[in-house]
Amino acid sequence: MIKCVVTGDNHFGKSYGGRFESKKNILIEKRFESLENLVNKANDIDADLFFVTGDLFDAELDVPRDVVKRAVEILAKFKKDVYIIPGNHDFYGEHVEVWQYFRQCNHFSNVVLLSSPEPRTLTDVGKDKDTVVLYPAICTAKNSDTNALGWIKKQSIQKNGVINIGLAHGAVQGMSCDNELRYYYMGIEELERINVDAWFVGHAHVQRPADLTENEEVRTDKIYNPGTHQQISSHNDTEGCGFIVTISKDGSKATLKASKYSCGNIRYVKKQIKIPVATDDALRNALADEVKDYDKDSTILELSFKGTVLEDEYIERKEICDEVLEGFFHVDDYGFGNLYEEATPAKIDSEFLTGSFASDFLHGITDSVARNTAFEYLIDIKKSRIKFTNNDKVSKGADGDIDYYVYRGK
Amino acid sequence: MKINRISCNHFAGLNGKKLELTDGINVVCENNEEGKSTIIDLMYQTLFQPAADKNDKPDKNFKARNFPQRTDGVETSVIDGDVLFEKDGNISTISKRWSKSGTGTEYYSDTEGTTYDESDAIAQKVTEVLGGTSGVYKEIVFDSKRFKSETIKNLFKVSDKEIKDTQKNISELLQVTKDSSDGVSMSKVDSVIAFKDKMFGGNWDFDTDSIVDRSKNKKDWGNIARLTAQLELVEETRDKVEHLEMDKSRIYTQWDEKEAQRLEHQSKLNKLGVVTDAINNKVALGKAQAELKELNKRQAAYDTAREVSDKANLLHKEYEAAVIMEQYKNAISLKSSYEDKKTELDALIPVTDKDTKKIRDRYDQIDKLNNSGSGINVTAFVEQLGDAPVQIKYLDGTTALEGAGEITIDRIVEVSVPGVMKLTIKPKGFDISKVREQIMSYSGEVAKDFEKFGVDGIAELDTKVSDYRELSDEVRKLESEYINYLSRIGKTWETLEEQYRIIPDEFKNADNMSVDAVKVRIAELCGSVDIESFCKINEKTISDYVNDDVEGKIKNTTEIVNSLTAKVADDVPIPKEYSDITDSQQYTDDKTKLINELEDQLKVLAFDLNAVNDSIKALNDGLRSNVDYDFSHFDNDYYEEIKRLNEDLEEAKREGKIWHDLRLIFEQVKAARPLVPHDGFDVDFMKYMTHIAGGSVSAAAMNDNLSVNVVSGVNKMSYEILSDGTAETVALAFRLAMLKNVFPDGGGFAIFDDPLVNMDDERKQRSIELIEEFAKDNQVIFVTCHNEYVSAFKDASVRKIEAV
Repeated sequence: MIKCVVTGDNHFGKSYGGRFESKKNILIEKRFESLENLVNKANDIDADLFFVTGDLFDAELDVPRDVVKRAVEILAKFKKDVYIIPGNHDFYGEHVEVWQYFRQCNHFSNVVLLSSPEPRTLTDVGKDKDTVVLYPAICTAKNSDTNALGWIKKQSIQKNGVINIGLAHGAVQGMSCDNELRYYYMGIEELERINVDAWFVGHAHVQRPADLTENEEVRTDKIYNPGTHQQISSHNDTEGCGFIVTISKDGSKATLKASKYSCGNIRYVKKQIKIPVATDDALRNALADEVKDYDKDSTILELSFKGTVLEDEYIERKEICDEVLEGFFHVDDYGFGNLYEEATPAKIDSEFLTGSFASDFLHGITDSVARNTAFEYLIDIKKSRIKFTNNDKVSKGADGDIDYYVYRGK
Repeated sequence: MKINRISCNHFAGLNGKKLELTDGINVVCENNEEGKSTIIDLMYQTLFQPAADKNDKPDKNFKARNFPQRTDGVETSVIDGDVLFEKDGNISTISKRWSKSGTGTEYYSDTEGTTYDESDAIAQKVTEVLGGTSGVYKEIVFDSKRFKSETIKNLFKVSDKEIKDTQKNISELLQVTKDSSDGVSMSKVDSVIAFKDKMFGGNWDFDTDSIVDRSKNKKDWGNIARLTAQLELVEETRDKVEHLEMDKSRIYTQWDEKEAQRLEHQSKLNKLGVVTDAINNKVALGKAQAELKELNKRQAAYDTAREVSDKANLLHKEYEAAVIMEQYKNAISLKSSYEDKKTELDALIPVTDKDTKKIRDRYDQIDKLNNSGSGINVTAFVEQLGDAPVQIKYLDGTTALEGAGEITIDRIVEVSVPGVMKLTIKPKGFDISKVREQIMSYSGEVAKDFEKFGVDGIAELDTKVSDYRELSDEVRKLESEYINYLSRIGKTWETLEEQYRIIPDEFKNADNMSVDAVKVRIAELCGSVDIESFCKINEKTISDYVNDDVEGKIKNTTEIVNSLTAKVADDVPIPKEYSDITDSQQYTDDKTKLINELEDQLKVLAFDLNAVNDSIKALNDGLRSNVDYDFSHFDNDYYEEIKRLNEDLEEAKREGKIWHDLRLIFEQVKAARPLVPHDGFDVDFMKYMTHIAGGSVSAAAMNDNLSVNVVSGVNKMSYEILSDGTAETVALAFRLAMLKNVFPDGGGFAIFDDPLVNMDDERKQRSIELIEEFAKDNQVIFVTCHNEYVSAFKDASVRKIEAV
C-alpha cells in the first residue's frame, strides 16, 4: 500500500497583473504558502510519494529564478520523493529556461523531474515495500493536438504485484473547454484502456472526481485531477486543494482510496445574489447571507445581483454592497445588470400620472425585466438623475458621461 | 409652491429693491418706470439664468438688458438677485451674482439643509421644485408677450414657417407641461432609449446576431458589436500565439537535438586526445602491414616470372616462326597461282573490244557506201531469156537478184548477164568507181585484221575477245589477292622470303608448329594474355623487382611491422567508437568543423527563439495597449480573457436586447398617442373663451393641431379682423387653460402683466373671476399700473416694490 499526495497546476510565476496589480505580491506569497500547507500535510500523514502533475510553473520563460528556487525548496521539504512532470505551460525542453533554472536550483535528491517518456521504476515504496512504476506523459509544447500517451499505450504493463501510475497533463474529456482539442486532449476511455492502476493528471483547474471529501473513502475512479492547489480565477471558484490517494495492490487487483485536502488560502467566489422579495433591506440581507461564511482576508468576490429591490435600496445599492463587503480581500465591480427597482403597476401608478407618456409607456411593457429597466431610467429622469445636454447626449452618474465601455455601469 | 420674496442690490435699473409676496392674489400696482416688469424679470432670471457664462459663451442679450447703463460714469460690474420661495413648508433661497466678466456665483439653500453652489445642481433642483422646465415657465407662467402673440396667430391658422414652429412649440409645451408633473417627457425618454440602444446595439443586427458594418467608425459601435469584435480579436490573437508556441516548441526540440549532437562531438573530441598515440600507432601498423603485404605480392610475382620466363621466350619465338611460316606458305601459294595465269595470258594475242569495234566500223562504212546512190525507186521484172543467168548486184558485190524475178531497185545496182551484158543503174552523175574503190579499201583492212587475229570472221573474233578478257580478269584478281595478302601482313615478298629463310630448320621441320598448335601451348602457359604481353610483363616484373629493391624493402618493412606490433601491444585499448579512425588529425578537423556548424545553428535557433518570444510578447502587449477595447483584465491568459468576454458579451446582449425591445415599444406607444394628449384642454379653453366674452365670441372644435374656429354670433372670425380686446380674450383663455394643465393640482404660480387693458369692463370683470378661480389653488402675481385692479380683486394683497 502506498499513499500518494497529488497536486498540479500550481502556476508559480504567475504575475497577477491587471485588476490584481496592487495585491499581486500578497497573491504570489499566498500561492507559496498554500503549497507549503500541502507539503506539510503530506508529511503529517506520512505520505510515500508526492506528485506534481504539470504546470508547476506558469510559463516556460520569464519565471524569476528565485520563484523557481522557492518552489523547489518547498517541495524538497517533503520527507520522501517528489515526482514532477512538465505541463503545457512549463513544457519541457532541455534548454527551456524554467527547467534550466530548476536544475540550477534543485540541489535536493528527493525532487525529481520526469522529463523522458520512459517508465520509472521505484522499489521498496511504502511500508509494504511496493514496486511502483511511473508512466509520465510529457508536454513538450504549449499546445498540441496530439496527447503524450502514445508511448505508454505501447508499453507492456505488468499488472501483477506492481503498482502502475500514469502521470499526464492535458485536457481530459469533459473537464475543460478545449473544444478544439488543442491541449493534449485525452479521452476518458482512452485513459482507462491503459493498464495503469491510477492516472494522476493536471491541466483543468477543477477537481475530478468532484465529490471527494476530507474523509478517505474507497473509490472506483481511475482518473484523479486535483485541480490547482490555489485558485487562479473565479472561472473555477472551487477551493484549491490537493488529493490524497492510497493504492494497495493484491495480485492484479488495485484498491484505491481517496480524499482531498483543502490547502488553498485564496478563494475566488463568483456568485449571482438573488433577491427573493423586494422588502426593506432585502439587498443588504441577501448579500450578507451569501458572504457570511467566507473568510474576508482570503476571498476574492465577483458578484452580480438578480431581482428587485425597493427604491431606497436601489439608489443606495453600491453603497450597501460596499458597506456589507468591507474588509474582503478583493471585490470586483458589482454586476447590477439584473438588479432592478421593482416596477409593479401600482408602483408605476404611484410614480407617474395616469395618462402621462411615462405611465403609458411603462404599462405597455409586458416583460417584467424590460419594464423594471425602463422604470429605473424613467425614475432617474423624473428625479433628474440623468442630465440632458444640448447635443442630445445623455449622461448619468456622478462622473458625467456614461462610458460606452462601462456596460455594467448601471 | 409660492414665491415669498424677490430682491436685488443691482439689477437693470433696480437698486436695493425688494418685492414681498404672499399666497393668493398679489396685486403689484406701481406707476410706470417703477420697475414692475424689471423685478418680474429679476425673478425669472434668478430662477433660470446661470450666474456664470456657459462654456465661456456670454449671454450678450442678458448682459445688455440687465447691466445698468449709467450716465454718471459709474460702471456696474456685478448685478444680483435673490429669490425666496416655499414648497411644502420647505423654504428655499436662490442667490445669484452675475459679473460682466462672466464669472458669476450662485447659491441654493433650503430649510431642509440642502445646499448647492454648482450651477447644474441648482438648475436641477429648481426644475424639481418648480415641477417644470424653464421653457414652461418662460412661456406660460411668466406671461410671455411673444408666446401670447404667437398663440393667437396659431389658433387662427395664420400659415407661415414661424407660426408652424410655434405650433410645434405649443404642442411640445403642452406635452412637457402635462408631463412635467412626472418630470418625464417623451423626448427625454426617447433620448435615453436612443442612447442606451446605441450604447448596446450600435452597429449590431439583433436579427442576424452579427455586426452590421465593420468599416463603421468605432464611436458608433455599441457594446455588443465591440465585445464581439474584441472577442474575435482575442481569438485571432490566441491562434497566432498558439502557432508561435508551436514554433517555439519546435525550436526547443531542434535546440535539444543540436546541442546533444554538439556535446557528443565535443565529448568524442575530448576523449580522442587520450588515445591519439594508440590510434596513430595502430594506423601506422596497418599501413606497414599493408605495404609489406604488397611487397610480398611482388616477391611472389617475381618468383613466378623468373620460373616461366625461358619457356615463355621459347614459345614467343616459336609463335613468331609459326606465324612467318604460315604467312610464307600462304604468300607463295598466291604468288604461284598468279604467275601461272599470267604466263597463260601473256601467250595470247591481245585482242579487245576496240579491235572488233574497228572492224564493225568498217562494215558500217562499207554498208554506207553500198547504199550510196539510193533514191532510186523502180521495180524491175527480170525474165531470163537464155541460159545465161541474169545477175543483179549491189556495189559491194552482194547479189540483189539472180535469175528471174521481180525486184525493187532502190539503189545502185549492176545487172549483168555474163557474156551478154552488163548494166549499171545509178543516179545521174554518180561515180561508181570511186565508191567501189573505197569499199575495196575497207574490205582489205578488215581482211588484214582477221588475218592478224587468226580468225575467219567477226564472230570468231568476238569469241577471242571474250576469252582474252576473262583470262585478263583472273590474272588481275590473283595478282590483287597476292598483293593484298602481303599488304595485310605488312611485308614485301622479299622481306617475308628473308624472314622465312632465317627460320631455323628445326622449327621448319618440327611437328606442331602450326600457329594454332603454338597458341594452344601459349594458352596453357599464359592464359588469356598474349605471349608478347606475357613476356613483357614478366620482364617488367623482374626488372621492377630489381630496380625497386623489393627484397630490401621487404626486409625493412618487416622490421617496422615488428616494431609497431610491439608498440600497439603496449598501447591503451582504443574504444570501439574510434576503431574506424584512419587519420586522427582529419578526424579532429572534421569534428571541429561539425561542432562549429552546430554552434552556428544553435545561434540561429537562439535568435529564432528570441524572435518568437518577442512576437508573442508583442501580440500580448498589442492587446493590452489596444485603444479600441478594454483589456484591463487581460493577463496573457487567453482562455480566461475569452471566458470573461463571452460572459460580458452575453450580458451585453441580454441588456441590449432589452433596450432594443424598449425602443420598439416606445415607438409603438409614441405613435399611439395624440399630438395633444390632454383631455379637457380644449374644453377648458372654449369654456374660458365663452366665459370672458360673455357669449359674444366663442371657440369651437379645437383639433389636434391646436387649430380652432372662433366665431362671433354666426360669423367665423379671422386673425385679420380680430380686435385687440378679443385677441386678449383669446390669449387669456388659452393661457388659463394651459396653466390649469401645468398645475392641475394647484400649488403653482403665475404672473399676469396687465393682461386686461384692451378689454371692456364686462370682460375685465369676467377675466378677474377666472384669475381669482385660478388663485384659489395657486399664487397670482398681477402686475399693473392701474389702481382699479387693487379693488377689483377680492382678497387681493397689494404689494409695492420697496427699498431693501
